[in-house]
Amino acid sequence: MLGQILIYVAFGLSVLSGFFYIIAKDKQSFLKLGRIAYYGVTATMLAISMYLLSNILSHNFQMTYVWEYSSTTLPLNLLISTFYAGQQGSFLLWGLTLTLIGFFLIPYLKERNYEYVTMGIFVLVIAFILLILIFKSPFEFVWQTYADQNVEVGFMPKEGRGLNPILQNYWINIHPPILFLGYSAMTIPYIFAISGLLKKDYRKWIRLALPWTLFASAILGLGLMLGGLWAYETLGWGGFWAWDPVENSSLIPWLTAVTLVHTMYIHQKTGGLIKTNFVLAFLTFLFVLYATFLTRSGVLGDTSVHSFVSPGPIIYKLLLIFMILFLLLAVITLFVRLNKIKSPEINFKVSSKEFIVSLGVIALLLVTFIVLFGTSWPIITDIIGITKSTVEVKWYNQLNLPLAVLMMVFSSLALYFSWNRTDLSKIIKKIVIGVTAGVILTLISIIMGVNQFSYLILVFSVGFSIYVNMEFVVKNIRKDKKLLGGFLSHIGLALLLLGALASGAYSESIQVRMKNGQYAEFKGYRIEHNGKERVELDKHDREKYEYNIDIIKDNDTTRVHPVAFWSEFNDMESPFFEPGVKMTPFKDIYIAMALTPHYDVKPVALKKQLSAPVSLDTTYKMKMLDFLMLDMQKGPMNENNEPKEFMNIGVLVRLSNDKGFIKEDTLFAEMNMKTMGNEPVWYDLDTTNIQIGFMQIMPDKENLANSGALFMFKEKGGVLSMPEEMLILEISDKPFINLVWIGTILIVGGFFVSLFKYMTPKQLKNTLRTDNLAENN
Amino acid sequence: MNKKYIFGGLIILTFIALAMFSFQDNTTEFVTIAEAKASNENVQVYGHWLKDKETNYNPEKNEFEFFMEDESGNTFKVLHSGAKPNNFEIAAKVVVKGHYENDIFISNQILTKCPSKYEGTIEELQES
Repeated sequence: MLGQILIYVAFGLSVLSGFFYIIAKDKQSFLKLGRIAYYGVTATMLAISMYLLSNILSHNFQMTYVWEYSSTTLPLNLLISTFYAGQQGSFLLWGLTLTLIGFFLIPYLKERNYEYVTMGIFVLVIAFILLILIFKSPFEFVWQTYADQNVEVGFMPKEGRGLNPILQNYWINIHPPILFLGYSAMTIPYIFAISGLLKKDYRKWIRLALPWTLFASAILGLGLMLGGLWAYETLGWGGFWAWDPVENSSLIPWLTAVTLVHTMYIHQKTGGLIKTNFVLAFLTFLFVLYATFLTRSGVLGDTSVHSFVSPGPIIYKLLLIFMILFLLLAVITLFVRLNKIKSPEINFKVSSKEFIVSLGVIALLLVTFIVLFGTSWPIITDIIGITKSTVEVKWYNQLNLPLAVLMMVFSSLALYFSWNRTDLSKIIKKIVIGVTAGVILTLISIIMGVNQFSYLILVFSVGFSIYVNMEFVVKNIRKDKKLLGGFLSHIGLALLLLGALASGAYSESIQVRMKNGQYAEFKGYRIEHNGKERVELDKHDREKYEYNIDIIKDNDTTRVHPVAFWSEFNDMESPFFEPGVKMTPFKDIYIAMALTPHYDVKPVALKKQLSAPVSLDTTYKMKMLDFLMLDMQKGPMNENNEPKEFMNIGVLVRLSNDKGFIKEDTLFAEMNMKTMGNEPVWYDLDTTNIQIGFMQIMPDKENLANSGALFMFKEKGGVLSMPEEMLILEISDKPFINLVWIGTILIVGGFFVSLFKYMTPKQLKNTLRTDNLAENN
Repeated sequence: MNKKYIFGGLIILTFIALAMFSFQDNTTEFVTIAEAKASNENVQVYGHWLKDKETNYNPEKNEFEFFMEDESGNTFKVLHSGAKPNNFEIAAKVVVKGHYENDIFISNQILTKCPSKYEGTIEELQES
């Protein structure tokens, strides 16, 4: 009840706050009221989150959400992460991060006299998320969720269902919160842009929103990078990026935000691109909403490796309304003011820096469009009514490669250009060293075996871009630190692309099978399977094994530990795997694992009325007819009224060979009631030397009558060979994968550098002063 | 006309054209089993695993075989080059990508979907 009430209170306060902020024009008292209500929203939102967290920590399984995603066996860090393991909690986390951002946004806006309207739109976004939480509350009780099935009010399940083992990893504590913080920060350019339009301020908002756009790009970029690392290091996808719809949908707003940073920068320098900035600021937020719609509404259900829960028609509709409303708000305000926006006649000359940067912007927009179109394609096919289809990964790679080349070339060339006009003849002299660097890197890669033309072009532009940006880092490190962030990010992009090319296109792999003690050879490495160790013995809901895989080259041995994790989460039916990775500076050895039992003689599992050939002599066939459970029918207790330890069971089979029917007979076994395993009475098959044993009943949980039986075979007088575990290893190398991580760190780091340069007190004062000047004018 | 528009426009048009031309070869349609049987193209099929029919992993060839049924009740045998996917047993739905050839669907990718396990069921609630 309390949680529900708090959500209503927060919703009410957010509407109130938004109302005051929107009507507050020139009225300080209304602004103050809006602010107070906002602090109320902040406090309530914190209370809601604390309340959910306390219910999770105290294992209150009466709440459906707590029951569905957590359990008493989870350690504290994972228990905390179940806060956002499901839909409702994710929305709450989104709302919470938004509210906290707003808390820091208010003083920034207040100081610059920009709070009116801006905060109003911001609170409106929070109100919408609260509305979703009203309809899809994390505080629902199990008897409310299952109301139609007569669950007793006050019913308390003893144990929760627990967290998906795939997610049981420290990454879940890091990646989602950062991603949501990034998503939330992407709201800020939008609210500044709307506010600018409504207040007929078409320029100042750009300067004010720039640091926040940098912040949003940095954080969402960090989130994307960590997602890639998670997929590579733990989830065993073999790579860091798969162009999966879920990944793509968070990449799209990041791409527009990064584009926006560039167009804002051009605007600062030239006064142009005002409308472009409006549109990009709108798109960034709208794409966040679109991403949420794609990943939370179930529309992409069949097309992603991520699992989606269908959230029900209400959330689907709410998200759709949410998206359309904010789109309409943007379109209408922009349309109304369109004629009033007076761009100075900025005729970018072909020889100007702003023109070259704009070309880079076009390349970025094309990448955005390609990712957007590819990701949305299954929905588009639904809407236009053609056969549903999905886009292959190679389409993204093919098209983005030339665009990546253009981005690198333009972003590097632009550095030699001057604003407004450049003497082109001087440029040619300046780029000679850069081009040489590109050629050298290309030659090196040819020697290393790269022979595809498009890859060589990419390598060339990487070399060019790295050299040019390095040159400018060195030039500017003393003089003008402002642009350092940009250079670093561009170097990062080049390194990322080089790493992606090398580790993606030049990864080799083999698939091998290994029993304990066996080994395989891979590119000069000897890979040995040296047993396994059970870990986390104190936890009773799982059997988790770390395998000892030794990767040996010359005299150097590295042991990696791929993991097989059997969990009660899926009734131990199949294990979850983690890869083992040997990381070295120039390449990783990546070992992805799967398991299969290995039998020297193949066992046969049969359900009633099914038949199969006999393993040691396939001219014979056996058909299972029925179970004979005479002993069991006498009851589970023996004469002394104690539970029986053993029971005789039989299975009726029909034997035949290629000459026809032989006979029907019963195979007996003594079943151990504790282990459910059988001690078979070995049955001689016809005149052969083969014996059949009835090893086990294979129960069908859904329909016991449909259970089957497992048979094994041996030679008369021989011993039964027991199954051995066989590892299936996919061993691959990932050349220069470290460039991917270094590159992404530089890209993200570059944004932070720019942000901190922008946020130094001196800079802030300057912005303030110029703002006041602008207002006085 | 201004040179800059020609230049920028050229980049945009080239890429849109490139994207469109390469699009057809790079999409995989979702079809029913009946349609998959009638076609020799690369397609993807949505359905569920038939537990009662023969399911087998061949470690020597690293091939996984099973039978699949779609919504309209048609079935076919799937031969997947690779190991049995994670979560295959508990998957409520599977999506296979590949093509149909000689009475078998040759698959190179399987996606498993486990919605039922991610949202609690009343039975589980009462068991716990």
